Amino acid sequence: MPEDPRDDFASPQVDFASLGGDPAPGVPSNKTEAVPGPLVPLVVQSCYSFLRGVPRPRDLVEAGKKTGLSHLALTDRNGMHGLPTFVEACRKAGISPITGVEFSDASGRLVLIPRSGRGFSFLTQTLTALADPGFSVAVSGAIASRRDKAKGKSNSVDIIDTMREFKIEYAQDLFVLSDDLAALKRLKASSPRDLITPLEYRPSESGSSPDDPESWLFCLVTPCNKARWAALAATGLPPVASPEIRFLQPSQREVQRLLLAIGKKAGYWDVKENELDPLSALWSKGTLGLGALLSKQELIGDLQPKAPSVWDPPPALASWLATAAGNNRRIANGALGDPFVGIHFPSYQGNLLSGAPPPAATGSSAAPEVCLPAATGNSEAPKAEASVATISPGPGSAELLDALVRQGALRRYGHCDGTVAERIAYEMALITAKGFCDYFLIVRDIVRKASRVCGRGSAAASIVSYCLGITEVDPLRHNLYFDRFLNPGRKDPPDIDIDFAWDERDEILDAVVKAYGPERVARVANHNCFRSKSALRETARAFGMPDGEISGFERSLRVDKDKALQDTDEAWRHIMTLSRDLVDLPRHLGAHSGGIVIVPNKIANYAPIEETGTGIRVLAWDKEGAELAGLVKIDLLGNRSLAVVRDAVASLREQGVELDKDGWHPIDDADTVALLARGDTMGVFYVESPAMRLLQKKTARGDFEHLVIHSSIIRPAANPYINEYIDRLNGKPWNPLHPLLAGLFDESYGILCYQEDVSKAAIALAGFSSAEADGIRKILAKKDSDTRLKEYWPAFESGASARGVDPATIKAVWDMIRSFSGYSFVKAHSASYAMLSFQSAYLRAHYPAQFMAAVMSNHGGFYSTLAYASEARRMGLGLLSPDINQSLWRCRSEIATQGQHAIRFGFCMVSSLSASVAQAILDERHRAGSFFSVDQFARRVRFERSDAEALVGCGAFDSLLQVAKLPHAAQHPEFVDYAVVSRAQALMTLLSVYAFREDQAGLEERGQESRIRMIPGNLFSEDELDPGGPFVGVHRCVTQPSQPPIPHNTPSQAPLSPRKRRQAEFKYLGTTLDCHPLELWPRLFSQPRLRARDLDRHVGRRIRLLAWPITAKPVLTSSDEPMEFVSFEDETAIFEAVLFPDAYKRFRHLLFEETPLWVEGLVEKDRGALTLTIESIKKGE
Amino acid sequence: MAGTILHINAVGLMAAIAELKDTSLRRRPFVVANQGLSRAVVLDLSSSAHREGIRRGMLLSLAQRSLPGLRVVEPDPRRCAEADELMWKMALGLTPLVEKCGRGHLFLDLAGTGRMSGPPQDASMRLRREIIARQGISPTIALASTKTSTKVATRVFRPGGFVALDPHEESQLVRLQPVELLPGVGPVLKDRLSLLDIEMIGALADLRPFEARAIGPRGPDLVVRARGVDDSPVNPQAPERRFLEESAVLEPDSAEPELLRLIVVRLSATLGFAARKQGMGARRVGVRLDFTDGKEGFAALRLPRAMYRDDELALAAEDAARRAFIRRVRVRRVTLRLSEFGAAGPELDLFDPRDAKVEQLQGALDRVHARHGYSALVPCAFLSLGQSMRVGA
Amino acid sequence: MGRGLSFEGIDISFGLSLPGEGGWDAASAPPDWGARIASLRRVLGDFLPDGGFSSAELPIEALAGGSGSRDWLSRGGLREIFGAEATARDFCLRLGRPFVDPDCPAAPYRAAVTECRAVYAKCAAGATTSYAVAPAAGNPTAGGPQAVSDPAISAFLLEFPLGFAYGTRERRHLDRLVRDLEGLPLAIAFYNPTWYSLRVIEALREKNIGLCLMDFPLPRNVAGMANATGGLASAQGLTAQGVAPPRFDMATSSLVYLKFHGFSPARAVAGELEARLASWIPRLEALALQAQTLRVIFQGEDA
Repeated sequence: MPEDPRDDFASPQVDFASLGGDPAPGVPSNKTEAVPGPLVPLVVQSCYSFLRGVPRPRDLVEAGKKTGLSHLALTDRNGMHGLPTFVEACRKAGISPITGVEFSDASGRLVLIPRSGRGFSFLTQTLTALADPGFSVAVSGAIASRRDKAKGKSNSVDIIDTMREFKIEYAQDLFVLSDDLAALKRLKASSPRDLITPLEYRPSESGSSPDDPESWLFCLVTPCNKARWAALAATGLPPVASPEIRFLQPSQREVQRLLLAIGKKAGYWDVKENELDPLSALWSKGTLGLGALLSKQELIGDLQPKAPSVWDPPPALASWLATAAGNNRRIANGALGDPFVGIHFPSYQGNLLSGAPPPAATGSSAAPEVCLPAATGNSEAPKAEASVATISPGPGSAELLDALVRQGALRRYGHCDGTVAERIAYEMALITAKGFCDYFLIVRDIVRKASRVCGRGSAAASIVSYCLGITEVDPLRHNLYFDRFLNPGRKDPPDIDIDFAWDERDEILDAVVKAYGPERVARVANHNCFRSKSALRETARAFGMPDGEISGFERSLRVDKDKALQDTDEAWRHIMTLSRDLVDLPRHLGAHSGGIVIVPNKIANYAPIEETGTGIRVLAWDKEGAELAGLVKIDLLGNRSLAVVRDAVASLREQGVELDKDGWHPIDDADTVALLARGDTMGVFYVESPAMRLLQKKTARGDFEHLVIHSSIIRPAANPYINEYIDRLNGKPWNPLHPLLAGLFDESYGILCYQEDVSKAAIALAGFSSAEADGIRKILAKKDSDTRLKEYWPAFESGASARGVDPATIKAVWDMIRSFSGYSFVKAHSASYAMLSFQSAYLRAHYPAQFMAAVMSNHGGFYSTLAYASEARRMGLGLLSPDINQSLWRCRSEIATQGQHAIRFGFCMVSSLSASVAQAILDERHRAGSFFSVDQFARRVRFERSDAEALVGCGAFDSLLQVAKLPHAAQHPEFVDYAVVSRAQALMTLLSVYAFREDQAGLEERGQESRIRMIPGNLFSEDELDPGGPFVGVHRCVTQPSQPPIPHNTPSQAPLSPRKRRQAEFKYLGTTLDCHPLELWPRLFSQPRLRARDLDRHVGRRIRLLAWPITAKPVLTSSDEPMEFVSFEDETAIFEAVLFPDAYKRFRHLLFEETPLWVEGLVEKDRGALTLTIESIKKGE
Repeated sequence: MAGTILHINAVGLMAAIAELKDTSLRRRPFVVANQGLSRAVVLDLSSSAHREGIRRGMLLSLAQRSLPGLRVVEPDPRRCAEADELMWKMALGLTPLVEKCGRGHLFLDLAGTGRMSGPPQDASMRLRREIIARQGISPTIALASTKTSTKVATRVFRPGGFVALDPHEESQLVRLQPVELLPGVGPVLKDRLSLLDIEMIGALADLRPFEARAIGPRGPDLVVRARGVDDSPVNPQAPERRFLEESAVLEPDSAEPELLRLIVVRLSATLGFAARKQGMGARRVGVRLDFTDGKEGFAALRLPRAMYRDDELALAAEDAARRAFIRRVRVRRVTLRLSEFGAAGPELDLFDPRDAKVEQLQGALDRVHARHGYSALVPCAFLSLGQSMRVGA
Repeated sequence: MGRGLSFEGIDISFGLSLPGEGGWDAASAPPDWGARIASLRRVLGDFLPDGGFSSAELPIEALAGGSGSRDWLSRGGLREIFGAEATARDFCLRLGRPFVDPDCPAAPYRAAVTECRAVYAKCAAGATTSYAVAPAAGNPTAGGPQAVSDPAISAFLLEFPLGFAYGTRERRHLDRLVRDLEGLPLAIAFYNPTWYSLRVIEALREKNIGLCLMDFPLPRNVAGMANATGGLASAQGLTAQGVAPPRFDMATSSLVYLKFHGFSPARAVAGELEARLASWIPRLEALALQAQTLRVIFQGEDA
């Protein structure tokens, strides 16, 4: 029960009206200067209080700016995931950010606001401790948690205890705010020194409280905790007033209800009113003033709507509140501002990854710690005063790097002089000056761990990277300029992204973590946000929709959104509307695909570290956040094509063909160039998508220089420019967009092609400084680049106008610049990619079997197994089913009958075959040789029913079906007795053994004697191949002469009909092998019809063919209508088709089904490439 | 001589009744659903609609989308329940051995009824004719010697067919049918059997014991059944297993706890009234929730004594409903079942029963209900239920 | 209609099966149909609709058997059978040996298919064909010519003998037949029980082909069945028990074809025919719920 605070206070009256609230009638407002401006919100929750908060940090800052706040805090609940976004927004808005965390459990809360770097570090470390799985916050439940701790099973982090352990210098490091009485009491008692000043403030004339630097503990007074005011006042602690901000609009409260329901996995209706934050935590002009604290309604529970919103407080209360308001300002001023200063950089300590011990464990202290200024002498916390300039190289790392680069140059160029030496000297000078030597050395170590890499991004422009083996493109030969990567003016750290073979990446990440120690390395997080799909799904679940129905609705949305909405009912429409509010709200942390951060000491000092649901340690921040926080990130990304090249090269090596790493120059190979020029590139890295293949066909260029352009210009938004490019390439005369741009883009025929072209254009046309221009370039790669890009438009327009450029040209160039947003490459990156494209194209041109085998094993890229299988058949390769004795895990090439090259499917292609069984097969084969009967296989390898079905279904046992023909059969006549001659029998054999084992296990479990021993006259001779197994001879038990002989098991001995065999292949391998899947529909297949390979003879005509869709890419027309590019194939060729919006609406749904389709449309030829404009699609029945 | 087990399989009862009322529906794809209500589902459908890929329980909007111009017929739940009840009664006229397994499905054992009703085939013909004559619907009927055979047979000669099998042709006919018709063969097993080249029930029947075991833990049972061996008896309902049951269909379906609670309370009032009319109280209260995707939740409570008052029953039913509501999915139908009846009424006591006043109130209410029908006097809370609930569906 | 049977909206007619194999040349007239019909009618009594018999099942030879067979029809062959007063509305064509025997050489079979299609096309188009029954001279019925309409073909019946068991070759044969005869109102009678599987039934239903229902005298006798199949049956697959199609009724298409075998007036004495018919009453009623066209054909033992 709230007591009347008047009983406790007797102080002069303060004019509350001046504090920003609604003026009370009759109160003169002549003391407005008493407490300047509105109260600073110190308790602010954003959407980064996962699944609870709603407002986005940016919107909060915006609101703060509008209100004219000088400071704004962000104190998310038990986390600070939103901090970088918040700080960035504050920087832009000119508001001082206040960082903080609201530690909160069921009973109460503590708001901690750091005053120093050390305090900030305390927060990150506490949050890190908290993020251990299963740990929760304890704020005031001190006694219980201590008891737990005594028993050694505590799973809560007691904040107050932690503070004590950290020996926080309260007066310097933290402000602690709470309205939890128990916590306040404990804190008061635990103060190491008696720093807590009892309530003895005498509000001065100005109404502000004395600036007591010693006070750090405050009782929190907000409009939401009025019921506790009296009790809080009674603690005698200094009060601090603050609005609580949870919502920016009243409607956000319903969003919170939805979020809570999703978080609890409960129904929308199950969220009780009292679980939501009170509506008084709404941001409004009123809530920011003291007036809100005094709104009478809530204090005395008067529900009369006409009641005055502010009442005259008794003098004691007024005085107390005035003190509280004063303290608000004090905290705002005393809190740590922007916490992100400086760059935190690792130092090279020798090749930790090679497995060799680091130079010396103590070496790290000898090595100057990057980033931490020596002046502070404090190695624990980052210092606000740190700056970029303080980065200094580790001892000797420059020399080491220089030596390694020269060594690499000899390998790459065969010499190290002339232009090579010049370039190296130039780059090394810059790298050394900026202190990035350690960084390069570390990246080199990481790269050396992998089989193949592809350095991406601007790093590929560096000869140092090239010599170190980080990239594969010779920057000298291909005119790649180092300045794009590093230049004297650039302030941010270099950014080297490296692709690894997709299946090696995790291993490498683990190795890095292990080498540098988990306390110094963390992965970068992804803030997994609700996308429209997940938002819809989760909202629907909260409203009790069953999953099946949700999927159905999603499918209908995909086909035709408008119609789906129109057809559906009220409930779904409501769900759709609500779900839109969730889109882009963060949901939980995930790991970024490859971003990794290494710091010299303890990473928890700089940022909270958490564990994702899958147990990966990540920063609390995403890549932008990590960058803002000055953490240098290395991106290690997975790339399937690197694995394709690796596997193909390895299989060639096995066959005696060595493609020497340094002597291999695919870009000089005429066949490869021709192949690329034909666009005959399915499976080739980056050039295999339908759009890219069309571009290759239209341009008919396959040389490296053009491929670099093509890899870059193929951006989704650049369609009009692509056509223009093709025309110009084919001889259309052209002029630069403007004389100011003359000569800048001649290499790409006057069309902006690379990211850096945007900078070039901005400098040349609008007179941007190179820093500004670089700014534009950088945001192109960011998440919300389109909105951020708009901010540059005024400057661009005015700058260009000032140079006399006409508005139309300005607009045209700007449009071209906008087409870069979201997805674009720098030239070095394109070149790097083109190099990998060339490697894979070379393999395709010269070693098609090995190449396609590798493509399929690595599950290719753009297409399904079915599409690659068809392509392989078209390339004249045979496809062989997996074989129990021949197959490896991956596909491999074989010479089949008549010298035809063929691809033997590997076990990795068999769906529903478990990897462990596949491994067991390989191991067993390695251990004791081939299997020569199904029966023997069953005894040597353990498997589950589903494995048996998958293996038999895909045909892996077909080679064992004629046991009598096998050479071993003569030595093991007993097996001939029960020769397995059909797949059905093979499966029955396997299942019998499985069932036998199952029973056996059951018997053993019950402690009974094994069934085998109960069979009279045990027949199992000791010379069995595998004497160990108790399952030996399940067949032999029954083939005992005294019992009816079972030479075969019952299932049909007839071989499978081709149709059934192909169906099984289709089911277990995803494709048919010896024929196109269309042949599964013999009646359709045998109909007289046009074949896809003959399309070019029908240009301009309407035709109809039987086809199978293999990939589809939906896009929006200029008027935002959905349409789709679809690749179809029949047994002869692949062809590209387009469904314009009308056709898309009518026929889209047919593309989801696995049936042949009759496709009808007009054959058109555009710049030498054929497309079919679809008019109708019918299911082939 | 045909067997004596008769199976009546009236799958599609609602559609049949709809067809009966409107002959223009015959041969046309149509569905039975509560049109006009949001989130209505397909309750039943004609065979031609089934051929078009529409299924029971599909959302009506979805069905209409996939088959434009689909006719929709309002259900007649009362008639369906009546038809079901009537069929059961007619069957009981033939033999006391009638097993009810789900709405519209009956097994009858006609053994030993020859003297009264003639040979089983004639008797079943007559029963069928009676069903057609009195209800106008034509369920599929099979006469054979085991429950399994009859089940398979009704799945072959459907819809509306009749087949009488002699024992020697019975197993032969069963053997010819695809394995998936055999009760107990689901999609997983079907795929496995297909890989084993076992497409017909006959091939399954030919498996040897160890092979039967190989196809799965329940393989031996299946193989035995495939051979036509099925000695499971027709299980008539024991009189002591009597129960009172009432369900309400929610249109639209809902997961709102308060709404579900109200419905359960409403149902317990209806059933409580019915029980009190017979002077009975229930010792067991069960609630079944049919979720909107076809899954079920069920919970039952045993009561310390035979309860009969609305408030007591409602309390127990609410509790059961809470336990049955195990998934975060909308509920389509709520079914309340009272069973294990005992004599109602307070135990005689020397003093006035503690709840005398409540008892009196209950009595007064019942008198009003008895005279003017239940809807004459209902608690205000029920008024909000409005259209979203249909009792007795 | 007798016994209160009501088949409103259903095209139902009763008919008689005429034997095949000869007898269709101009010269030889069939046996004394009049007498047989009269005795059948006596047996059927009030089972028979008021119009009496109005259908006949003719073997294909009646059309294509010989030079005179067409004349027979055009001479008013149906009326010859049913009597002058009969309203012989239609007939069902029983497709004989060339169709049902997979070993039969293809040529006659192909020719017969063409013939069937031509006949059906003409009947369906309502054109006056050479097979039309001419209006009886001086028929007083108002409206003259249309009083007796042209007999149409209401069904084509394929009767597969007992020896025709489910197998690859047989399935292919059937498939070919069905494709050739697509578009005609087909009914198929399988005497071998191996065809009564869901797969076959579903296929028939999909292709809108009626599965012929058959009724045999009790005890069902193998010899009778062999006869019933036009003498084609080999004893293959027969057991002492007698292998017969199951007793069932169900419609797989809008046409339901029901064939009573061994329906000889001679048996009427024992009342057996009466009993058989009585048991069919409810079955016909049930079938009427599922069908649009119902043909009930009686085939005597000697036929």
